[in-house]
Amino acid sequence: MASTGVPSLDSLLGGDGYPDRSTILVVGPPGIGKEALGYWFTHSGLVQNDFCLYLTRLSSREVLQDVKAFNVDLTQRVPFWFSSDGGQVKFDVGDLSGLSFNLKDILKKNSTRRIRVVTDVLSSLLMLNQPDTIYKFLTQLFSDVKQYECVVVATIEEGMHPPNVLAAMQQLFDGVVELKLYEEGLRVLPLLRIRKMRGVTPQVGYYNFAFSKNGMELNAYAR
Amino acid sequence: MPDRADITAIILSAMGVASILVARFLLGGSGVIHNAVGVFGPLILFSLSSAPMFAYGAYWAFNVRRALAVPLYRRQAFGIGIIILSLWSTLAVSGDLPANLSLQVTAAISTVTFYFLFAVVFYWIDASILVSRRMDPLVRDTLYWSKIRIPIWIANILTWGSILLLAAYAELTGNLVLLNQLSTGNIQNEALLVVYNFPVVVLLCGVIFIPAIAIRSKWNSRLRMHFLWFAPSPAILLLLFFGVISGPSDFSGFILFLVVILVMGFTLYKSAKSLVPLNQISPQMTVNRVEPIAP
Repeated sequence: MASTGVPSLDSLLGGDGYPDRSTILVVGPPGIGKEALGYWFTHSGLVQNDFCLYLTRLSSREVLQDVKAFNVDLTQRVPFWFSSDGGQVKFDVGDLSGLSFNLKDILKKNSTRRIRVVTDVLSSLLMLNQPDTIYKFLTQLFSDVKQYECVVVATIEEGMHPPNVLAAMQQLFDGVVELKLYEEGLRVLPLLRIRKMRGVTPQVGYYNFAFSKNGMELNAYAR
Repeated sequence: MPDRADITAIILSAMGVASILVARFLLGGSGVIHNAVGVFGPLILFSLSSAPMFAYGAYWAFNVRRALAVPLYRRQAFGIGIIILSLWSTLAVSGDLPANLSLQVTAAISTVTFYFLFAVVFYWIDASILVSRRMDPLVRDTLYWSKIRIPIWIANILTWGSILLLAAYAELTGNLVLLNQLSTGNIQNEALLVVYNFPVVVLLCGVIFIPAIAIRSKWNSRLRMHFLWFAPSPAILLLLFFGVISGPSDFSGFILFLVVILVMGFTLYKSAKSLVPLNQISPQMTVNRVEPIAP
């Protein structure tokens, strides 16, 4: 198991975090804090001396600026950056074969360690390519990635893809964590739900979440 | 389909108009309203009748801001909330100042509210362009905004500061000529004219960005809706500026003016609310209780 970096989320997932050799999809609207789950997951991996790869369509400098807002320190222990600018490998959102080749190459070179991959490129890939192309690409990529001791956490934007595309993506991943905003009277509530998780009993509960200096706080949603 | 929050907004708008009609019924003719509550009458009536709608819109903007976690998106929500409040204060306070106020007070209020509105609109434009870039699949920088924004901010702050300092100087020294020029915009000095108009030119240039990023945001229906709902407000302001819609001169004019302003308030509320997709709480969600999580 790979700790999520958020103790309360680990508890929710049965105590130890995401399952081994799994692919996790975090769904939510822009700005809700999906990426924060990736930051804590990366930080937790770096502390445990896992090989952490951060694959982003942004520059590494921009991601580090966002990371600071969540009180996560990625400057002492740094992930391997696969980014549009400022990383060890340059990411080009239009080059699927290059992405696949580089990713497999990096994983192969670090196959002796436990690997964590965090990425925010999924929405961009879906917008710039046919959904079935990305579906096939991910199916192939995930089967290759799972040959290693690797956990992948990917984020996808809610409201930017047709529902059928989003449903197909959710079907492709082993686990789906959903972050959504709900309207309750005159309040806007951010709620988290584990839609599915391989090896974890299906859960029906919603959790109110908030970000603080200590990380993410989860509380069972009660009206 | 309007949801409960939308219906509340419509009710608040209707109550604004109804309160004026009730006031007229209780106080008599249109002239009586002006005379009965004194020279502050129109100001108070307009402020009270439009305040709930604008406050409600601002409340939703700050509500959305509070629910978001990423600073960039929070800034955009904060920007629209402050725009709603400053638009209301500009319209309610400086747009309808009583005639018996001294030039010092009128100039001070109109200069401060005018430039504050400029500042907050520019703040929102800046945040919106950055959000649009972040949401773009290719992370495209519209017209190199991320490179030019800092110099523009510095120049803007310098010009705002200069004008406010100049206004304060004119207030303290009682320079009525300068005060009059600043409050009316009829500046004689050429250098001062450039400084005075710089924020206006910058804001107009900023406004040009909005349709550009709205077109580029074809991927994101929420951002497009945000811009679409925002669009009527500048359009209404332009109609007011060019006199197509006149200010309140008689009772029917007052009602028409109020309705237009309330429509503006409603569209701004919708603009704030469309920043994020909001889901409805379903009964099933409250049936399945779970135990609190032990960290």
